[in-house]
Amino acid sequence: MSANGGTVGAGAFFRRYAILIIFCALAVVISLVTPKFLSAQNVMNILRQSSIIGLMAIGTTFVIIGGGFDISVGSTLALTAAAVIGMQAHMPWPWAVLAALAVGLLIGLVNGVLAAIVGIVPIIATLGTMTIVRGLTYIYTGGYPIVGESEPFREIGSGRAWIIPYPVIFLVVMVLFWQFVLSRTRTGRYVCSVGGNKEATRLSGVPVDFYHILTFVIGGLTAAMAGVVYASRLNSATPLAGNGYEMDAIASTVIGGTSVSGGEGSIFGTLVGVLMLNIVSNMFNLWGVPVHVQHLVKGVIILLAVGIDSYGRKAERR
Amino acid sequence: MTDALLRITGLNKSFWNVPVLLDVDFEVRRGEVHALVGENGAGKSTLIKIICCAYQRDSGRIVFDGREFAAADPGGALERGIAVIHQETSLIPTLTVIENVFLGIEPVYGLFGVCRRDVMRERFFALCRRVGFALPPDRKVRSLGPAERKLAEIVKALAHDARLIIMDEPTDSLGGGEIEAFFRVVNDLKARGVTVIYITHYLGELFRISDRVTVLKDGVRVATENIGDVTAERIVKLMLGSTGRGAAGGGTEGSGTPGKGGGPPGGGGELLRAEGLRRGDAVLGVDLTLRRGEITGLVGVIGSGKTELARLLFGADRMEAGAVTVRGGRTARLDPVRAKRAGIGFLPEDRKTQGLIHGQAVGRNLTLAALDKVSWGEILSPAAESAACRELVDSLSIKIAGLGQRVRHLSGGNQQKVVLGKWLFAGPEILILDEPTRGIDVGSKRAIYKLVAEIARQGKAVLFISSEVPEILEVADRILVMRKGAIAGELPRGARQEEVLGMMLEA
Repeated sequence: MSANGGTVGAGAFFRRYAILIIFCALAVVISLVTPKFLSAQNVMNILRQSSIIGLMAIGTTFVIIGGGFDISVGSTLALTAAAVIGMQAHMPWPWAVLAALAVGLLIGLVNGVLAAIVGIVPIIATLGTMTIVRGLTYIYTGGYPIVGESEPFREIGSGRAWIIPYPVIFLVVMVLFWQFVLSRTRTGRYVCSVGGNKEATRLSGVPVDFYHILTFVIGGLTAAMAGVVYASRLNSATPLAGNGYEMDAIASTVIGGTSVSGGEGSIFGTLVGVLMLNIVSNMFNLWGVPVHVQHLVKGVIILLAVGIDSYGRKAERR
Repeated sequence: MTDALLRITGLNKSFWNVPVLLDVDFEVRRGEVHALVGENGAGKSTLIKIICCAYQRDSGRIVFDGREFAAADPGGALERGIAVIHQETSLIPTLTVIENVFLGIEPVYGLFGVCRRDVMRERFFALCRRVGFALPPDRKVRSLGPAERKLAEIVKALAHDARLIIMDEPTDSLGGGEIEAFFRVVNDLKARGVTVIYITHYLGELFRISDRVTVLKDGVRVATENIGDVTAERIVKLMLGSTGRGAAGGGTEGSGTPGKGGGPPGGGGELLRAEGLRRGDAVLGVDLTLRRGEITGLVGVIGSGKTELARLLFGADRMEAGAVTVRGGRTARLDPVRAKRAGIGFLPEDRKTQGLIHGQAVGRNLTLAALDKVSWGEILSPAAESAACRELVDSLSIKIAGLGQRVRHLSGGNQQKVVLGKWLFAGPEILILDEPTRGIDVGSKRAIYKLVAEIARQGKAVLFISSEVPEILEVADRILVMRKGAIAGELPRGARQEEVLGMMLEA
């Protein structure tokens, strides 16, 4: 990333790491006023709760950096969760997992083609697929929750290595991998370029439609990963699973510093965004604050984080 | 004193201490068509923008219709009775003709502003009668042809009670028959007492419709003449000036002139051949050959189809007919990916929207077209990348604070060097440069000329596109002149400026 480094002033430094600084400050404050917060069990709890949205938000980050938007990932989670459990009736669970991932990949491909080739505005294209995929989930499950049988499959969601739950390990591995793809591969560079200026990138001889579609495919794939973890943890899937998760994924992404207009962002930032939303809910849960108030505070955090960022950019342009 | 509608005296304007208008006096009489001509950069658009109050003047007086414009006077041109018809339409495509015409001045009932459609229609047809043509009031502007749009803009101007209509290259988007019809409309307007300032590159047009002509050169008004008293040759001379710039064509003997040493014109092997390229109204069957070690200049006025041709050669737009042969491979379906693979590089006309990713770092922009050179397979090598970038920045002397600086914050000249650097790094055999020196300072211009000459010396083919004749004369080994979608002719290096301009302007 040295071509991106260069001179960074104190102001720029703060802006770059603002979210991380705020996150750390928040964590310190919470741990001071809530003694239980830093217990190993609670920390692992927070991390495990973060893993599903975290996986999903990786894909959302790619899509937004590439200049797109994907609101179908919550539905994709539901369909893939149902698929991974339903298909275990016909095949061993590892095959079912692969099949579920393939379903997610396919949904992403459809989203990408609709946005990049047909030319539907991404938020509308994925509004369409969101509704269709949710409908497919109802058809597949018959409208009822379906329950899994396989014990080893449950391990994915509830097993642990020493005290660390598998989903957390999985999330960390995925974050590292995709951050590497984003910042150290040609694919990642082209994704940023397409989001920054698709026309200029096209006129540099880059196959822009391919990379535009690829972001949606990554979005579908990571939503399917989230779906598998979700199904395994609950050992069941309901047609309503993951409803509204896409909004949490988008919120985490933008809190994490990814530009809503595309072109730049990071997976690490998104991870911090996910953790931030989760420690706040966790704190409220420990305090016994009702859920509706949590919604309120979450909304304020989103507006604050994005507001500071957008206002800063506006000032920079002047 | 005759009856002047607009009188400007002693007008001065400079940008960043570079004078753009110098002590300009300009007078437009009531009911005349006054043509305004000059080369690119002569100050025409600045003058117009000051008349419209889009720019503030540094000094000078402007009296319009008996009222003096104060120096810092807010409000748009239309409120003052001045309408500008730009090259690109300023109508809103999704509204109907009548809605556009009365936009902002709709006659309304009472408090809630309900539109009085009956009154609108009555006024609309009255205006159409006044100018002597009919327009469909309820058609969406989107569905109108370019000629009808111009007419709708004229009706809008009159509906807003404009006493002066400024037309900026109005015939650029029109076809042959439409131009004739448009001239009739302008003559009718004149007969009905409407005053027009008419800006054009085509000298033929101005003899058809204008009463007087003012020539600007380098920000100075060099002449205002009755049209009956001048010839096209005289106007070309006035535009170029009698001294100084004419020498550019004779620069072939000068030792310091870049562009020499690329071998004699026509000496190198053929790298690219285009046959019968055609797209829409912009490119109407163009043949073209680019040779190794040669800088081919392509010159023409704005709207002559140069940019459209360049985009076809790189595959940025699809050609409707014709074929391009690059190094032996012939294709009728070119796209930027294939073009780059075939060894073509393209510096687009608008660096801001097409050449650069404005919000990203200099380094990222420099390597975008050739990431494979700084990576092992998929994986980028940051060390190789910054080394390559540093070398480019040094060799092009791009002034930046660091490779991480965003290109948005660079000056125009440095931005253009970044785009050029991107293609130098990709190392194409054929380089298409569309207006590479537009909007950049003199120093950067020099640097770019030198660089282009160096590229040709390395045995590459360059197509250098510009609307500025002196620049083409200085840089090109041979000159293709484009006019209205076709190559109007070819001139050798050392051609006189008058010859080139004459061919460009059909004078």
